[in-house]
Amino acid sequence: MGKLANYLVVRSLLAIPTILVLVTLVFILMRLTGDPIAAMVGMKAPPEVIAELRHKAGLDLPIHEQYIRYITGVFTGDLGKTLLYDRPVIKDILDHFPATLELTIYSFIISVLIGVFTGTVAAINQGKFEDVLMRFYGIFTYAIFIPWFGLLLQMVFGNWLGIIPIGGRLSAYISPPPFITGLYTIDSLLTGRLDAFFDALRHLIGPSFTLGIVLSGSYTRIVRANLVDILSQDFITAARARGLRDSLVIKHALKNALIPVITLMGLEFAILLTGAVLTETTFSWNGLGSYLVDMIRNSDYIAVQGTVVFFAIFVSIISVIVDALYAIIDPRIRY
Amino acid sequence: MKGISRITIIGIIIVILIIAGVAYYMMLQTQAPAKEVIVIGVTDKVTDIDPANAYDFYTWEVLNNIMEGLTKYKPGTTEITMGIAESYTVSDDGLTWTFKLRKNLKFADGTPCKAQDVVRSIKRVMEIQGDPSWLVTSFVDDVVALDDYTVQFKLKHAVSYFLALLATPPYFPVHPNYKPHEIDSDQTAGGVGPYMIKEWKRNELLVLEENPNYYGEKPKTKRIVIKFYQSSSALRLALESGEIDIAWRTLSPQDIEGLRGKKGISVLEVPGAAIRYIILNTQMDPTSSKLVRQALAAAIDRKDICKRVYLDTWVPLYSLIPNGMWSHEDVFKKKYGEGPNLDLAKSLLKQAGYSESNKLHIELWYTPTHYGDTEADLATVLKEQWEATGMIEVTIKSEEWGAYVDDARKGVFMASLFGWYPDYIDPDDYTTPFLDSRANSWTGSGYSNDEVDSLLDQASTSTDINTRTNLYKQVQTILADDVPIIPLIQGKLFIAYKSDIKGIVLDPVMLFRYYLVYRG
Repeated sequence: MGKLANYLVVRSLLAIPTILVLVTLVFILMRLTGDPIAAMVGMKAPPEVIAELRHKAGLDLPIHEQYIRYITGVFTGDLGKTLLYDRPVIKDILDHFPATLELTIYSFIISVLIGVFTGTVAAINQGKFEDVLMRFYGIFTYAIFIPWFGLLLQMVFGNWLGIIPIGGRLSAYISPPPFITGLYTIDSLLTGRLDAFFDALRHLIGPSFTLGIVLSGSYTRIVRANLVDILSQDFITAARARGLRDSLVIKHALKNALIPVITLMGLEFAILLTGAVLTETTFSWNGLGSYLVDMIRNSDYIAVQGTVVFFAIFVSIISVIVDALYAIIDPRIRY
Repeated sequence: MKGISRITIIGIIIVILIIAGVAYYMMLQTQAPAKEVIVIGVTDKVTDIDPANAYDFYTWEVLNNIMEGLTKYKPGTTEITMGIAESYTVSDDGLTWTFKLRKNLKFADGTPCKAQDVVRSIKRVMEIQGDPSWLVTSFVDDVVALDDYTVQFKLKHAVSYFLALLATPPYFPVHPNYKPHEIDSDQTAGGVGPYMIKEWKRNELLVLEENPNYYGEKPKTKRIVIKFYQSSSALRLALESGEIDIAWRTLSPQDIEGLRGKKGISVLEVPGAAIRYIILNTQMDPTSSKLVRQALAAAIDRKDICKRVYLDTWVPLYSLIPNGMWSHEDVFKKKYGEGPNLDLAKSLLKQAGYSESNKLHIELWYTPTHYGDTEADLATVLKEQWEATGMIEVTIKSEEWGAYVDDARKGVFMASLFGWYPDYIDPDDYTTPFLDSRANSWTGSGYSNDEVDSLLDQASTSTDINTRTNLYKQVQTILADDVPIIPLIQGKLFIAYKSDIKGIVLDPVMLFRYYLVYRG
């Protein structure tokens, strides 16, 4: 385990340059799209007001000073104040993040469950109708455009069948549970608010299935490919020759086939966050994705910059965790 | 398929069944909305629940439901009546305005609201200098409380539309809980309005409840819940599925069409206060020629624009002052006809020295990032209409909003597309910022006409509405002759609601009064 600890330290340190490159890119890109202050205040503001706002946002400083300020800010957790509302960006982010986390966790579980299930069905029925069907499913989900699929679910299950709500995190008649983690399903359970728990769960169905189904396709394919590969290996043939039950054989095979899935989980998490942006706007889910889109629309570049940096750091942390998990689970991995 | 996969299948089916069952059960539980509750869905955002910094229509609407100023608009009209003030007097020079407050005014929690609170709130706006503070600071020199029930304003100069200004949120008294020296975006203590804020979850929901201490008539519905959606299509589906009772700002033209004629749903439309127009540069060749500007105005077909670009969710506008507002006159229609008047346009162009072989070259600018997806279409349709004269060649150019606003101010555009939402409902807000040479530098038109300046000065200080109407009519006539700006279209407001909802009153003030709606 000493070696693992070493590896983790190195791995974490390696994440820093990645983040640095990313925040620098964001810094440059945000300054290529015209004057953010003019874009925000519009045409009614007199030039003195614009100058004042530029000063407040530090935009009148030389570019290298702005950069130094910004980088120091990022590493001390100070992402500036939004131009639009004059609130600390980090506060806004922390306000919106729990909603995104809740959505991504549920979507993640759904995508893995569906993915592993469909992949396994495909592999053990290799070449048969089920296989074709599941492989088609894998490709189909990959091609789905989230807003379209979300709208479809809203229309069929929300509007026609009336099972799921169209949007939001809670019904208009239910007051939100007190803030503990910010995840409504958890907070409501912790405070014994069953009405809020079920209502929150009901609101989660649409967005988390949309995102979960869209992302499940990659699991389907990787589980199938690995399982097919492993099922043809000698140890499986040997096990079968010894008269082991099919179910046990598949259990052994699946264990081995799931290792690459963990790597995929790490990669998928980044995609999950991207998908969350689209899912959130489709289902009026008040998370970080909605916030980001809103701030882009309002050309609030300080808020956009902060949110993107936050996403980047979050993904970096997740990928370090996934690497650690990988090392723990697969004994063949040595560092 | 045997063993493990069968177990997995059964497991997954059970999970799905449980979720579906719970969902169904909860659906039965959460429906049956109380009669005292009406749910309104919107895609707009509430920015700051603080009159010191809120400067957008939707937030102003919410503020108007939880607060009230000295004056207010009579619902359904653009007429001003008394709000928390009982009466007022104005000095002969128009500089001193004295208001008597109603007795026993209270904030929602029972704290009394006196003249000192009105003064404190307005001074707070002046000190914080938020976005709408100019509505106070440009006009008010000082405001004092003479006693508990008397507020007196000293103005910098006489302002004929001061009563209209007083009806805007920066003049609303706010609860003492508002932070005195800084913006308080999430403050829910409110003011002296028919409703108070019961619950506020930014961008998710806003729950308003009847203010027990309101001096006036009780709201018709005890509780109003505002749900925030992120797309027009979600808003429409939410109304269709019964999640909300009213779909308000802002449904897209397509969704309005889709909702029309649906069983159990009504759609109401009224003229709005938003206008669109083309700014022409009077200092740049060739638009510096009046004949050229007039020809451009004559060649435009506004009906065609409304139909093709906006699916008739906008209406033609022939003046800067919108239809439905006093003093409005269809000056462009009078001078150039309903349009397109190609013969007139051609003859004007000939007089200016252009012909089929020697074409007029126009650069038309638009911004793709501020006025919605239809903006490029609008530019293209205008190009078509101008080129239909056979004597004009149009190049379309575009720029990001930030740079666009900047360049407009610098006067680098020849012709550019802009839009306007009013700050206060008065013809002054539709004329002075555009035509007064001391106020119109942001347009980049470079337009300056001493006669117009002096007419506008008179109009903004006179307190007699007939005199003012007359003055604005003269200004509009000059506008149609000089054409520094070509007015194009005026917005409409749409609201869709379940047919059992009654009491929806909309007008060009664009404020939806929640306290008037009820379930019939």
